[in-house]
Amino acid sequence: MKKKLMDILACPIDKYYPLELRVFEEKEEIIAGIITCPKCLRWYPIRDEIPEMLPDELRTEKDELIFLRKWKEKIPQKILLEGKPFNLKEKGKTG
Amino acid sequence: MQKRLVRKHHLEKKLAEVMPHPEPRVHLEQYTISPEVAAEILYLATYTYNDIINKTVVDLGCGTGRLAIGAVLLGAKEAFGIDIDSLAIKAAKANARKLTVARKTNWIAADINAIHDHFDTVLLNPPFGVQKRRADRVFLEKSLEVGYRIYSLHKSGRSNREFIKKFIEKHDGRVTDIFEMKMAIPKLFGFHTKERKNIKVDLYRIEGETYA
Repeated sequence: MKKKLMDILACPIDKYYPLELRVFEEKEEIIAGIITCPKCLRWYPIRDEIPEMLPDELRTEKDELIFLRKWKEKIPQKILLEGKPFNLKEKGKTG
Repeated sequence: MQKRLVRKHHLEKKLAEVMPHPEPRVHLEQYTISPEVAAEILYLATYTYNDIINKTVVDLGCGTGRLAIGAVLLGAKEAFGIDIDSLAIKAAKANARKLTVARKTNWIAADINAIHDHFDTVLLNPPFGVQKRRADRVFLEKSLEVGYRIYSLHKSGRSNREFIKKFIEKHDGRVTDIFEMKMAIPKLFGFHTKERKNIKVDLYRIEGETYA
């Protein structure tokens, strides 16, 4: 994903923008990162250079928790604990 | 009229290199637009109306990216492809690399409501609403929200035409032209019993009003 793409992205759930971007890994494009909606606290992963901004029902909890755990050092606590649609609160922070 | 820098048969050949969906799913009506129809639409948009060269183009429900990639091959400044199917977006990204347009293309695995900005041109090959009624209208409404010029394919038929025109007007758009085209749709999608069948579709060119 190119950084400039943030200019056109909105939260598909509540249509809010601008969204917040955190980059975990970057070469020519952002390889891994997280996009968050400050309004509803939804988070969206960037995996293999592709931003995934799907409705809750199309997201797989297992994969999403793997993502959160993998990058937990770089994800704000608020998202780790209160992020939607999945977070690490009930699961225990280290899983 | 713009000078034709890319020959139509050459464009068709390039677009044939764009791989279709590896596992199309019926409920999303995922079939890939043929290289010939894609080239016809893009050629009209580029050389008859000057809606592609140096423009920002978005393909809503882009599948594996044939229209967005074609737009860049014809000279679009930048193209954006958005599709709710991550697998299709992965394929689109790989297709863009293969056709060396990765630098000018952006791919988003998302609901179409994940974009908010305005674009010069919207390309739309929406689900015809055979599997899911009204699916095409959601796409059309979003196009009118974000697009200045819109190219949209719909099932042909007089009543459908009346309905779509009214729908567009209600959302502050104006149909400038309708072109009849034929599209081969695989059996899988429930139109018929043959392996593939040519169905008549209408390509609408629409002017939106929301763009300053």
